[in-house]
Amino acid sequence: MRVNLDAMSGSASTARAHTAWADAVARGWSDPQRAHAEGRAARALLDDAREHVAAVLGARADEIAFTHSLSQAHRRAVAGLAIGTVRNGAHVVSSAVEHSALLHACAALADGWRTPNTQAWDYTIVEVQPDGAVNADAFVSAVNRAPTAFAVLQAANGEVGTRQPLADVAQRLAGSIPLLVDGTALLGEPNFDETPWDVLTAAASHLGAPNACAVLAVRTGTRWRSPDRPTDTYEHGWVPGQPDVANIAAFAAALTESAAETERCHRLNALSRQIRDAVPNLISDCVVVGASDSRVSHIVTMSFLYVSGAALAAELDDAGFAVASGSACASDVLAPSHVLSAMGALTEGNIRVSLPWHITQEDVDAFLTALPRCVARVREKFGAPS
Amino acid sequence: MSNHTLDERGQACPYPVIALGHLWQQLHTQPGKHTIVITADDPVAVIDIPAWCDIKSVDCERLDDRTGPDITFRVTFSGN
Repeated sequence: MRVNLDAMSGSASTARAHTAWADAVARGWSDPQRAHAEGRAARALLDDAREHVAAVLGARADEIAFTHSLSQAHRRAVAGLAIGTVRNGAHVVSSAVEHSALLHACAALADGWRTPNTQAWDYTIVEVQPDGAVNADAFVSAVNRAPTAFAVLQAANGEVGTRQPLADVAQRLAGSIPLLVDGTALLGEPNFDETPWDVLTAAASHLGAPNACAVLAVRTGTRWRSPDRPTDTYEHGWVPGQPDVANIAAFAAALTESAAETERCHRLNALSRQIRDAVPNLISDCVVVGASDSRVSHIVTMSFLYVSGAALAAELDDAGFAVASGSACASDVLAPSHVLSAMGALTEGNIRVSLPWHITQEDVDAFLTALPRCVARVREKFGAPS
Repeated sequence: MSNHTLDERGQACPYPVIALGHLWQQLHTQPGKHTIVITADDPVAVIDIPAWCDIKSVDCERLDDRTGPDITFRVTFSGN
């Protein structure tokens, strides 16, 4: 038996998402810009998906574009805002714990990716507290310290599950500059449509949506400009090339289903709480990482002394459980986790559990039975103190 | 009171912390104040040694000047 506890890296499609995908493959294979019946069929599926996704995200349909991956959405969001807002001042602010594609895109501005008529950008990275949250005062101060083009702040952290003080930050910025929000880790939580953003990026891998689809949403009136020369007319000219109608249909179905099933969050919350509470009692020398209360329901991250995260993830894999590791052990191929580093949290022996929608109580119980054995076995291999 | 040094240069994570853990395990049951000066050159030691100290509730002070590859901490605790 396999148990997927790495939903943030992908989760099996829900029945409805799979049906939507199969239907779109069967009927929506033509170019949605063609006027013939086949093109119109693809267009109808695309329009329907866009309407549904917009409703969940609290947007208008014409504010939503579909990208082929989350990283593509992140890069286009940053590059397009840079072009559109550089006249505010060539300075960008982000938290230290954004998705690496966002951090790298901001760093590229500072490293010489020029916008018209500018020198290299200034880039201010706002450090986080030990629980992984930025301090709202510090974030707003960083924005106000110099003329700033735009700011980047995730709704919640995908590695440790901590929510950011986004509403507070947005209220205090009061629309003075555009705020780019990575909504991915918060997606699926109740009332997502109340999340403040000017530009939004989001994937829904943990909700049974395909990985090969993500959203780039731009609020009407926001100065985001396509970074492409030339552009084409797909996705309002925001994302080049034909959209992947089948994966978009599946994405929309999974997102719509998740928004309708609010009970799911309570269930995931109870299960992740069970893991958070149980692990320190079952296993010595471990820390559960991230905020204890202000967090999303499906992510639990923990670190165990005296082991490498990759070795522990491999041991759990052998036992039937898929988990991710943000371990920074240089003996691993894995790059150090910038999130754990920024938090000052123990990086060795780090694993992230992210619960997919259809996880059961039995799955979690089985994991809590296997984990102490796996940790003990890896500790023995490493010659850890007992 | 006892003073100890650990040279963990060349050792990758998690081995420097494992060495620290073994020495701590020997010492923390012996009465008096104990000091371990540990040097490592795996960059992750900057995070993981203080995090270990936090978990074990022991004092930790960084001694190196942050210019070279060597990372040195002084770890201090009382045995009982």
